[in-house]
Amino acid sequence: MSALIRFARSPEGLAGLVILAVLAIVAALAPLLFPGDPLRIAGTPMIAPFTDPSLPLGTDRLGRNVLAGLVHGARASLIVGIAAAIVAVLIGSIVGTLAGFAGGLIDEALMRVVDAFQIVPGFLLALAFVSVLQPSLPIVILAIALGAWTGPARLARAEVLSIRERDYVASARIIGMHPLEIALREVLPNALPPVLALSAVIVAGAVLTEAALSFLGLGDPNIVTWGSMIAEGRAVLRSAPYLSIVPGIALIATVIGTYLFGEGLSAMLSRREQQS
Amino acid sequence: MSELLRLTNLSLTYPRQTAPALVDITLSLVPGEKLAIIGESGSGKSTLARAIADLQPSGTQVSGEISWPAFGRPAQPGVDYGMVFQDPGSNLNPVLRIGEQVGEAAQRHLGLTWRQAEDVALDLLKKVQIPQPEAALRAYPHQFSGGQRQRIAIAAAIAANPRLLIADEATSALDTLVQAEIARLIQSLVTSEKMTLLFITHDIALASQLADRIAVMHQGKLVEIGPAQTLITAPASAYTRHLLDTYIDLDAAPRIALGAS
Repeated sequence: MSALIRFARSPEGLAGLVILAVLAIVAALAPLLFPGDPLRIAGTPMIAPFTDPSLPLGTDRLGRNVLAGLVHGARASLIVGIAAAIVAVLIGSIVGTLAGFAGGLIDEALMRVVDAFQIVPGFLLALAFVSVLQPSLPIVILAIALGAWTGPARLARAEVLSIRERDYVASARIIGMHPLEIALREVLPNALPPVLALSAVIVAGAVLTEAALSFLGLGDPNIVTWGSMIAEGRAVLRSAPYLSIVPGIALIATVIGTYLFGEGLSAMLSRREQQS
Repeated sequence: MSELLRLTNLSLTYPRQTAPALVDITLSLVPGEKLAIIGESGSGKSTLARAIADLQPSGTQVSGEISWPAFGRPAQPGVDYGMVFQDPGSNLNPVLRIGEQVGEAAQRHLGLTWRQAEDVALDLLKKVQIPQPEAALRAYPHQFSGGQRQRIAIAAAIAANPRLLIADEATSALDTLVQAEIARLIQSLVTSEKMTLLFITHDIALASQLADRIAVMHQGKLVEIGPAQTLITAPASAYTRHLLDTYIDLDAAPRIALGAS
């Protein structure tokens, strides 16, 4: 409870929370706000924003409602961002915990795998992965997680190296717990706080990577995403820049919101550390 | 009566170390006795405790033998021995509830369900005199003081009714009053549960009050072992006498001169 209060007291965390909450509500209510396919033609093409009250942000060059696209695009961005971060943190913390706890040869082997993934730029890895497989939502999520799990793995390993020497780990061994169980039940939960603080950064990165992938036409073609909207607007950038600017602003707001939320999260966690 | 534990010529060298941490330790423990091991920092007393509990880091070279004649088989951790550690700040896992940690060994080794293990944990917390044991089951370690945490750790160590309780400097990080309480608690538990006690400490006074026998260690070697009274009043070795002489109480002459003289 007190952790939540500490979070609420950090202004940046609160601001991030508000931005993310608005985005999440909008994303959740997208089918109610704009029922039907956001990719269907809603009016004449190229209506400028704030001219037609029924289409407040205007239409693109195929006559699609920009606001509907924006609202539905929030879903894709948030789902991909959060899911990719969850997958990355899950894989990373488990691999890092096992490596740190087992030590020796297992540690070396696992960390070299981490190195191998880390030296390839994450975006390139995602690009290659998606272009080899079909561009669908789960594949995009997996592709982004593939480049992002190494950070949590390194962080978890470093934490585990110090935690595994604590007395309660020895106690667990004395009780006769299996080493794997000690690693996952006793050590991993204690190594999580810094990894969770990192996860906000991963979400922000994942949202951007997803946008970049769909900008290049490697997103799921059947759903509208901010990246594909920006790409769509690129063709008419000089005559109608708003088509790229509007989803760009949404993207910036999401990333800043996530980042601020992460700041609040790490403030909350670090204050807890100081206390104990 | 057959011995509970026998160490024969036990030597131990840590990985990447040339000097052995334990040299030729031979000693035995009979069921029901209380043996204190004393010595200065680095004398190998904690290493000995950890070696008995099979907690040495991988790559450690061990020679000699640790046998458990009373069981006629290798001892099983948790069931046959329990251990309490020094640091009350890290002996309990901060993210698990007290009930879970205390009941763990009972659930694991006595074949109980989690609900039954919780009852066992409740009894144990009552036994170690934790106030409001029902509430304590649901609490986390940071909600308790150092002395209370040490009591909880003792409760967790004896959950599966081990025959041997190893206390590795279990009272060293506590202030003298709490230290006395914990020592008294360990003593009464060992007596009432018919356990054997291996008590590692650097406090000679505490050892002499608590233990039936005292073993003195120095630089990895067993210097002397004997009944507590004899060892205190008539030490056989020079090192033990030296250790006794350095014992500080309020009557002792000040060893750190105050001010410039």
